[in-house]
Amino acid sequence: MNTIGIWKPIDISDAELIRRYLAEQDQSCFTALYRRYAPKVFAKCCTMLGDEQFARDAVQDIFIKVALNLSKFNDKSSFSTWLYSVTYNFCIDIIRKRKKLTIIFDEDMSAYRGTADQEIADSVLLDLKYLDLERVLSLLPPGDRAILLMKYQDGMQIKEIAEQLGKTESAIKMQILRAKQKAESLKKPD
Amino acid sequence: MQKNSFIELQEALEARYEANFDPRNLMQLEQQVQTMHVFGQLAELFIPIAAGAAVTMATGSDVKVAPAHTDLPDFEWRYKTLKEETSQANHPRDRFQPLIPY
Repeated sequence: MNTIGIWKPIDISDAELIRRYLAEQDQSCFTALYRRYAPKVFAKCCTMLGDEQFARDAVQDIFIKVALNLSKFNDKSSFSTWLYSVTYNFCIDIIRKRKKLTIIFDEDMSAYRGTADQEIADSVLLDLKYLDLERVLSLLPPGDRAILLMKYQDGMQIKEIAEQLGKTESAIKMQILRAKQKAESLKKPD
Repeated sequence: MQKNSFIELQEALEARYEANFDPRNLMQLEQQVQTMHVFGQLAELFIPIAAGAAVTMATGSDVKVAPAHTDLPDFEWRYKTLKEETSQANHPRDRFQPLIPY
């Protein structure tokens, strides 16, 4: 049933759109979700993949994945959190295949021992011009890129990131610290 | 969330997407999703049947076909009828003699 025109998808919550789509196979509900989130997914794909055309193709593939797996989505997290996690995983898979990388999220804590865990202020990244940030992020390893986007762009808590990536909170804290250190070293001097 | 360079970057890229938005992408996506749903429903209906047939062929023993979901209420009846017709066709009374007589 296509009810677009009677109700405005813009006024309806994500959860309600999903419920209607699953119950009635109402394509307009899926279209509304797409129009709501495709630009955000594209932005993340662009940052992660570093190529606009790849990012556009990735958006299509991600939304097909979403349509096929929407019934598996549970209300434990918000739809946006779930969608972004699908997006990051999808991009990381592409990067992994493209570069034949096996390690994306460096979990080798022994490598961190002996180096000074100097705390880096968030402002080092948050106060950059966005074009500088884009450049810095493009030079970081994909795992670091994803974690920084989750924390500073999506506003996710350490606990949420850890749950999404299946890692411990201390591992995530350590990786954020390392990513910030790397980002600072890549930043152009003021 | 307070505006920062990450949010600005996201907004700039979103604007780039909207500026180059091609409605054909959305139409293509809708078609793909609908096609996949049809395939999904067909698979739900026919995979158990195909699996049953494969087991029958491999082992020679009949297995009960139980589709997970079917809109054909007389499916089982049709299946039985087909089986009976097949076995009757092999009966010696038929004008075609079987290769191996009973």
